[in-house]
Amino acid sequence: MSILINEDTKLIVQGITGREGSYHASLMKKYGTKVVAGVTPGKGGHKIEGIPVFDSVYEAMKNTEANASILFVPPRFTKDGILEAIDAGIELVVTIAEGVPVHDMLFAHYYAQANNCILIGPNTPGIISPGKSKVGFMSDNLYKKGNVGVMSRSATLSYEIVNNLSNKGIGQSTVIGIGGDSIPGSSYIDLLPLFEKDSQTDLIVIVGEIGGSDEEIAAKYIKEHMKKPVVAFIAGDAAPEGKVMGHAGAIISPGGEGGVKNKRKILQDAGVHMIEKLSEIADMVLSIF
Amino acid sequence: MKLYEYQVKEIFFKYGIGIQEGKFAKTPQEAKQIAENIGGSVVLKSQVLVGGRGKAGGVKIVDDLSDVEKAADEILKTEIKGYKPVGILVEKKMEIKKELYLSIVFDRKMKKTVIIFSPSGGMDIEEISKSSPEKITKVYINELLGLQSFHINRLLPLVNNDKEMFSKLKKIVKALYSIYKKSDSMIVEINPLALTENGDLVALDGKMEIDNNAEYRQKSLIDTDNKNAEDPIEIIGKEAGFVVIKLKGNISIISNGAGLALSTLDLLDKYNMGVANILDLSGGATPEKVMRAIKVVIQDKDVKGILFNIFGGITRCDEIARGIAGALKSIPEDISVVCRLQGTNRDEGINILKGVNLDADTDLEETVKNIVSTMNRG
Repeated sequence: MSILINEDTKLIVQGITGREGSYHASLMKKYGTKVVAGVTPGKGGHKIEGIPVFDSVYEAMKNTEANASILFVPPRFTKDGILEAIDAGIELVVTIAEGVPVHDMLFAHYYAQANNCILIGPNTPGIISPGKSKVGFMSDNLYKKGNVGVMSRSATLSYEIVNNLSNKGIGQSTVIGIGGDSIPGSSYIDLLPLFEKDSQTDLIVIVGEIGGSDEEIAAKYIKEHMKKPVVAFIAGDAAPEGKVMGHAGAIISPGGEGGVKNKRKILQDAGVHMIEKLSEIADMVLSIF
Repeated sequence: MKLYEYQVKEIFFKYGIGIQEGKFAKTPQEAKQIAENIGGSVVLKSQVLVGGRGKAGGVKIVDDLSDVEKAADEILKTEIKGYKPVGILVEKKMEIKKELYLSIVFDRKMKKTVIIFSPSGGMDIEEISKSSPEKITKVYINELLGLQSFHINRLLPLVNNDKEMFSKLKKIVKALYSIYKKSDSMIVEINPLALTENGDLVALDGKMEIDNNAEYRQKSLIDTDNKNAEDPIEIIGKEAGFVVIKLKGNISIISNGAGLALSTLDLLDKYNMGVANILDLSGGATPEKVMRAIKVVIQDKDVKGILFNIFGGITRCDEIARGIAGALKSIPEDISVVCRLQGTNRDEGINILKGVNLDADTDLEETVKNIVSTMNRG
């Protein structure tokens, strides 16, 4: 089955007339994603790569059967774009931009939750269910259809993991970038139940990093509710305390909270299989199967 | 981005939160002038962005006007935890009855805004939470509701149902919440919030940190001085449009993602190699951007090697390679360069680098081993 997106996903691209928006709209279409509409205020009536453009998400919804949206809009317009999509009734919103203000995401996160919308990102490469649909900008030739679900805070580390898996013949059901920001729209805990229920997924990989408590929260859920095996990698072993390490979310507070050792221990105690190096992922997965 | 106390107090004043009479001075002479205008005993406070200035000699009470210049001069010369003060806040000394604590904070773990209040302030809130946790109240705010009266009413028992004081506190909480929201703060803190002899509540000290992602809409709050707390190379990086993190070591990591940079750092650490700095190119870097990045990191005198770790997605390896090839001549000879290219247009990238006699690996560990042996040889 895969989770979040599949052959039936009908996608709107918000910001489709921008450089990234138009480029990736065409790449997603080429991959097989049903890109049914684009939205850019003031550009309604145009066509980009054969995709009709509308002035608003409402217009796009009226004229198509869209059920998902991806935003290629700058950080300062991201909140408005997310809220517009949710308000128009979109069930899955993926937002790419890096550097969205925390207060904007704070509101968007809870507004999405209150409206039963799954919000992914910001600061994410998107989602891919290999062979079915891609909602994002990842380089799709790395991916292979299969039975491993992947969630990652870092885009580049998810490429590393997937590359290693695919090279050893291990395919993926759905790969999700949850994003590197302090307030991801959805976190591991929101997505783990979907993977647990998904008939295509047999194993889940979590690619975490220092900062925050999302891995710790996930560990508790895994211990109590997950029957499928989980493998995890946590980046940031050598990161000094108190420094923001590139991702707004990757900060380790003095005292070790959010630190790698703490996260590793808690995940391990929850029965998660830990790897120390990215290159160990495929071998670990093979040893479990 | 942290603000200085004097900047925070200017904001408090605008929002009607009581502060002492006072002014910011850059020189001992200015400090004296301000002290003279205030009259009586004054407090001189070093303006730095790190805590613990009291213990480090950054705060002085001066009763005699003739002593102000000397005391101010001493404070200006005293570095606090390695940071030079940008000036002095000169304030009227105030008699106080009691010290309280109040802050509004973004709690990342809960993903919520929280009001933290304690009737016994003055010291570090972490210390209070250790020594007497029962004296701290946290009130979480539902983001979709925003601050409501019922949130603040939960503080009533902590002031022993003192109605008069509570109404003053309520006003301050509301003002503080407005500041927190309107200035994109991660934290706004008043510690201590002083209860004066005549029953007023006054913010004796204030801390604020602005969300870096919201800097573009908070420009009026941020002075060039606020950048002093960052390492020079981080500032050079920021001005060139990059996130640079200064660390201790000799290798510069240039990568196209924060996670990738972090795991490269981890791997180098396993080989006991220190990292001088990390530069994140982010997604979609052009050759020009790569050349600009190289120009930034070679300004860090600690750098003896540059490790490129690129896993192309939205980023194209050929574009990165073109940038590296273009900037190669500008890199001093004593700095070694190793590259790892993987992902989008990898082979094109490797070929471009071959053209300038640079070998690129596709495997990260091989690349790390390569720089380790090169540097150990050098």
